[in-house]
Amino acid sequence: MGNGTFHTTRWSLITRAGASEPATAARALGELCELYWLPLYAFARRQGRDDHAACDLVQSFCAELLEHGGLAGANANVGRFRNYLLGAFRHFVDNTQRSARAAKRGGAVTTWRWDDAAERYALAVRGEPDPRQAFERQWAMALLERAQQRLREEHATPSKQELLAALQPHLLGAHDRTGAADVALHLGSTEGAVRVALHRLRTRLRELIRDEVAQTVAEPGEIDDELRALQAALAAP
Amino acid sequence: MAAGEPAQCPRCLLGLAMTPPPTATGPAAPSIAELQPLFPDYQLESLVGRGGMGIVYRARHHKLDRTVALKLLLPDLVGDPQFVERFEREAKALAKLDHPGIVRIHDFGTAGSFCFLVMEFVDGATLRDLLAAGHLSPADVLGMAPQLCDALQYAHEHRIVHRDIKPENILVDSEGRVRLADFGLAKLLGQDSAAPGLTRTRQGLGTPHYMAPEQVQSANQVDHRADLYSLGVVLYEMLTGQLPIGRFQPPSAKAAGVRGFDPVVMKSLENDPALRYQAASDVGRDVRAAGTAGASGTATPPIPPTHRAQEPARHEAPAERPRAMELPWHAWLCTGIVFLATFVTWLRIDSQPTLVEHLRGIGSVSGNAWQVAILHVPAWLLFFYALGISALSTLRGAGLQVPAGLPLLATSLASVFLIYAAVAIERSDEVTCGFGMILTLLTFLVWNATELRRHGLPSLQRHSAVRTRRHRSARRR
Repeated sequence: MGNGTFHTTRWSLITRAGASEPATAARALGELCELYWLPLYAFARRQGRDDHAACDLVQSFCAELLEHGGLAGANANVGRFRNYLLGAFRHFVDNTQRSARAAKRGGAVTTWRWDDAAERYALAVRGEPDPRQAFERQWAMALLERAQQRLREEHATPSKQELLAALQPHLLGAHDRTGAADVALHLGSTEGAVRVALHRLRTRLRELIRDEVAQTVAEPGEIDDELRALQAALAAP
Repeated sequence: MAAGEPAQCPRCLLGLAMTPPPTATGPAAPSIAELQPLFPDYQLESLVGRGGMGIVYRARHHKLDRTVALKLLLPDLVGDPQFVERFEREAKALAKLDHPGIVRIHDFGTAGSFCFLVMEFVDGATLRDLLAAGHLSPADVLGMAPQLCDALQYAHEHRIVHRDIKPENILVDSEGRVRLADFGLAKLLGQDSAAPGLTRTRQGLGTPHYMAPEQVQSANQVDHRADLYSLGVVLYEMLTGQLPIGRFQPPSAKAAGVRGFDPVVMKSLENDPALRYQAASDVGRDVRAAGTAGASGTATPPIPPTHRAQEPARHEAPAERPRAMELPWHAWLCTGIVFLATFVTWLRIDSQPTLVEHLRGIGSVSGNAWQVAILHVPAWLLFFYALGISALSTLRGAGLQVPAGLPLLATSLASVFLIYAAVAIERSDEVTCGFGMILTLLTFLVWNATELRRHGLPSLQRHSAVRTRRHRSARRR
C-alpha cells in the first residue's frame, strides 16, 4: 500500500488543492463525511440530543460542508481530518444554536444510512462519558469497519468468500494452533496453506487499515501517531 | 463477517495495523524508478523484502511473462573484482540446484553498482511471518520439516552448505509447500574478511541464535552438520515459538503434544557436530517417525524435569541411549582381540617380584600368571571398551553418552601404554608381553584409521577442538 499513492488521499487533497479545485475537494470531503457521519451523530447524542435532533444536526452539517467545500471559520490546517471534522462540527453546532435557526435538510445526503443510526449508536456507545470520547471511539470503529468492508469487497468471489469467512475468526488470534487445523479440514486444504492464507489476509487488512488512516492525515509520517491516538481513545475508561 | 456484525476487537485491529511490515527493517532500498533502467528485461513491480543478504523486489520478465524475485546484493561489494568473480562462481553452482524444495535461480549478474540474482518468485509467506502468529502445530511441523530435510539433503549431496538457515529464509507458498532460499549466500558474503561492507553484512545476518556453536567459533570451518544444527533451532522454534537459548528445555516442556519430537530436536541441537545427526535425510526420517509415533499414541517416555534443568547440552531422551548390545560387531571384535592378546601376554609373566614393581617395569612379579591375568584383563577390557565407545560415538555420531574429552584421554593413555610396552621389551626377557600389547594397540589404531578414512574426519584435532568449544559455550552459559 503505497506511500507512493499517498498524495492522492482525500484529506491531503482537501488541504492542499482545496482552494484551486473546490469541486474535487468538496467531493473528497463528501466521501469522508459519508464514512464518518456516525461519530458526529454519537457526539451530538452525547451532548444530550435525541435521535431525531442528532440526525437533523449531522445532516445539516454535512449538507453545508458539501455545499461550500468546507466551513467558514474552521481551520483546515489543523493536521488531521478527525480534528478538523470535530472542530468544524462544534463550530457549526455553536452557530446553529446561536442563530436558533432550524437545521435545513439537504437533498444531497439522502443516500446515507440514517435508519439504523439509533440502533448502532445504542449498540456501540454504551458508557462513554463525554461527547468527544464518543466521537473518537465511533471514529475508530467507522474506520475499521470501512477497512473490513474493503477486505470483503476484495474477496467477493465465492471461493474467496468462503476462505475469508473461515479465516475471519482467526485473523487476530495469536497462538491459535487448533484453528488452522480446523479451517484446513473445513476447506480441504493443508495447514501450511491455511497459515499462509491467514498471513496474507492479515497483511492485507493491515494495509487497508493504514490506507484508511492515511486518507485522514496530511503526511504519511502521521499514520502511526493517528493509530496510537485512536487506540488511546478506545482504551480510555 | 456480514455487514452489521460487530467488528472484532477494535484495539487489536489497530494494533495489527501498527506492527511493522516485514519490509520495514534492513538496508535502505533503492526506489523502483531508480533501478528500472538497470533491468531492461524486467518490469520491477514492488519491494517485497529487505534483509542482511540484500533487497528483494518482485519483478516480471517481459519476454517470458514470468514473475520473478530480483535480489540485489550489497552495492559496495561490486567494486571488489574478487568478490564479483566469487559471486559468479558461487551463483553458477547455486543455479545448478534443481529441487522442488529449493528456490531456483534463473539468472545472475551485475547491473550498475549491484550484483543481482533472479530467482523463482514464491507467492506466499516466510516461516518468520507464520511464526509471528505463534508456534505451529505438530501437524504443521510434520508437513513442513520433512520437505526441508529433503531439500537440505539434496543440497548437501551437491556439496552446498546453506550456512544461514532461519525462518526468514524458509518460504511457504500458498499451497503450504516449503522452499529454502538464499543457499550459500552467507558464505559468499561472509567469506572475505577484507571485503568492504563485511561488517554491515555481519550485522545484517543478525541473530546468531540459529548458528551452530562451531560456526559461531569459526565460520570457515563448518560442514553440512552446521545446517543440521540450524534446522534443529528452526524445528524448536516451530514447535515452541521460542529459541533454544542457554539452559533450554526440550520442546515438550514448552508446548503440548510434541513429545515425540524431543529426541529429534535435541539430537539436532547437540553442541558437538559428531553427536548430531550426520545427514538431513536422517532428521527427516526421524521427524516422520515422530509423527507416526505421535499419531499412534506411542510417545517416548517423559524426561525427568531435573535432568532437563541441569543437563541442557546433553539432554537426549533415555530412549536415545543405545544399550551395549547395540554396538556394532567390530567393537566386539576389537574387544575380543584385546582380551585374547592380553591373556596371552600376561600368561608368561610368572617370575617377577611384585605387581607394583612389575607395573613400574622393575624386577619381577612373584605371583603366578593367572593372578596377574585376572588383575589385568578386566582393566584392559574396560580401557579398550571405553576407547571403542568413544571412537564409535565420535566417528559415527551414534548419540552415545560419552564426554567429548574421553577419546583424547583414552588415546593419550594408549600412548603411555605403548611406551611402557616398548620399555618392557627392552628391559626384560618378557618379549611376548610387549609384543602382545603393541599388536593389540596396532589392531585398534588400524581399525580406527579405517573408520577415519571412511568418514574423513580429523579425529584428534576435532576431539580437542570440540572439547574447547564445549568448555567455551558452557562458560558462556
